[in-house]
This record gives sequence, C-alpha cells and structure tokens, in this order.
Amino acid sequence: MVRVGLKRDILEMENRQATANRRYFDRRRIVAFNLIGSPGCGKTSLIEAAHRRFPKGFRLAVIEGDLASDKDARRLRKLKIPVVQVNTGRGCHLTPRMIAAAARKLPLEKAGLLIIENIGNLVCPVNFDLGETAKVGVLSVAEGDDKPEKYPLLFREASVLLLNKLDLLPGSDFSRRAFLAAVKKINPGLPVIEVSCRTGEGTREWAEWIKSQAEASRRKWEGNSGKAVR
Amino acid sequence: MLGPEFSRIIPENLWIFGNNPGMHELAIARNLLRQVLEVSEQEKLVRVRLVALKAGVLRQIVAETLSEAFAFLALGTVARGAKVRLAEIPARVRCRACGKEEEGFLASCPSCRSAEIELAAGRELFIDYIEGDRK
Repeated sequence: MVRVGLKRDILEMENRQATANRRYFDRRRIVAFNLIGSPGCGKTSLIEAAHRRFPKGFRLAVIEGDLASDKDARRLRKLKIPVVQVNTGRGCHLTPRMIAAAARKLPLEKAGLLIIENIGNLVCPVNFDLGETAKVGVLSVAEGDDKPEKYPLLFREASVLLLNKLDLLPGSDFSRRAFLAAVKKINPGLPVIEVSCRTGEGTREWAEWIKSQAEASRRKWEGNSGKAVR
Repeated sequence: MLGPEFSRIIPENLWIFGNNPGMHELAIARNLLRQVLEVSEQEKLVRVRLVALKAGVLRQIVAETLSEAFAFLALGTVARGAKVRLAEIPARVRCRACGKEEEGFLASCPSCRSAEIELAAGRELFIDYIEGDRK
C-alpha cells in the first residue's frame, strides 16, 4: 500500500472554468451578479424590480436557472430583457460550464450587466463560483430570521444581502433585530437592503446598489485601460 | 434518482449525467473521481483503497451522500470500492486588529473585542491524500 499526499483542490476544474468566465466578462466589460436564494424568495421579482428602476440605456441580460419550466424566463421576456434559460433537470445549482455556454447566447456587449438567477437553494449554489463579479444573497421574511445561522456560507460570501417581502413583517414572527444580529455575527460588513417587491419599498436602493457596483467596475476597467487586457 | 439522462454516458470526461450536476455532493464526487483517476495513472496505482478529504464545515457536505455518489461513479474504475474519508475542518476567525486566531464563527475578537475579523478556516475543500496499491 502506498500513500500519495495531494492537498489538491477538489473543485479545481470548476474553478478554472469560473476563472475563464471571469476573464470573458472582464474583457467584454460585463458586470455579473450571481443571485442566490431559496425557491420563492423573490429572485425573479427582484430582477424585474431593478429593471424598472434603471434609467433608460442601462441594459441588462439574464441567465435564468431553473430545475424545469421557463416560467421565470417568460416573465422577463415580457419586459424585453434578453434572457437565456438553463434547465438543470435534477441539478441543484448552476455550474461555471453552464454559464460559459449560456453567456455566449446573450447580446452581452450591448447589455454590460448580467444577472444570473441561480437555482433556488441556499447551500449548493454557494459552493460553485461562476465567475461572477459579486454574489447577491436573497432571503425573504417568510423564511424566518434564523437562516443566517443555518446557511452561513451564503451570508459569508455574499457582497450584499436583500431581505425581501418586507410587507409580510407585520403579523409575522420574524424579528428584524435577531436577523440583523445573526447576519452581523457571520459577516459584520455585509450591507443589508430591505425590500418589498410588492410595495416597491427598497427597490430603489437595490437598483442603486447595482449601479454603484457597475460604476466601480467601470472605474477599475478605465484605470486599467492603458494596459493590455489579459 | 437516475433519469433518462443516465443513458448519456461520456466516459472520457466523466460528465456522466450530461450537463446535470445533481446535488452538490454528486458534482463534488465527480470532480473528485476525475482527480483520483488522474493521480492513480501518474502514480501507477492499480487500485485505490482510500481517498482522504478535508472539508470546511461551511461547505455543508454530507459525508454519506458524497461516499455513495463516489462509490457509484467509481464502479468499473481503479477506484472501485475505495473508502472515502471526510475530515471536517472547523471554522476559525482571525482578528485583523490583533492578529489572534480563534475557533468558531465569531462576530468579534474575544481578545481585543474588535469586529474586524476574517474567516481563517472553514471553507476548504481538498483531497488530503489517497492510498492504494502499485503493481
């Protein structure tokens, strides 16, 4: 019997593809967000809400991940958002390979902003880097204030957290204080935007956050523009 | 759990469910087997007996599910019947202010009370070593 020491990253291949995606987006100056949250937490509604808040000329494209059906994709097409549907069948997360294929079907040069709506799930999608600029965590009031402790990695890795369905707060057992304290415990610097897609509350802040990230990326690209792109 | 896509077997790259990664344990098992087979070939192993992994607690990997997925995928390869052992790495934070490290998923540094902390451990995912037989 021999022992071969390795210390090798298991997701090496996946991560390599994610890096390739990141370079692909960077070259085309595309800001990409990976939207992660449970089924029914309002991911598609948040995309619609942001789209409505964007000024004219601010275009986005969407990769819509779903186990089955194209219901969400149809909702977005109604708003004339270019969208590619990825059905994973039984797969519980999108992989960087899927994103590489889907991105090539979108008019990304015209959009500049890509939102990837991941499969509804708080565990698996967090484990797979897609090459995004930032992960956006979504949680809804209906899911309960204890979720940060149960699914810490998402709250750790996200660049922003959207607390959706704020309109359900009255009459629910959800404690904002307990929730914000739990978030702070896991990721003290994580900005939380409280939103209700139903009433529109907070959707301006959400759209503003996206714009500020796009601005930051643009500044970075302009700063690098003298140098050759990798 | 096996659907019609099971017939789409592509042995060269082991994407045996086509583009379908399954639960994250299955996707991890597939990546794992690919590497184990690669290493076995380089190291001229005729049989792999043990695959020892380390995973951070934040990865939320179910060891049994991963073992089962691996056992299934490894059928017919040199890694058939290999044991998959998963050692969990606990979360640890490092204080940016005083540099101290502390086990746990803490909000602030127990020594200096600073909230400037970063995750030092808990999200690893790697193959530690494999054991097997050479001819």
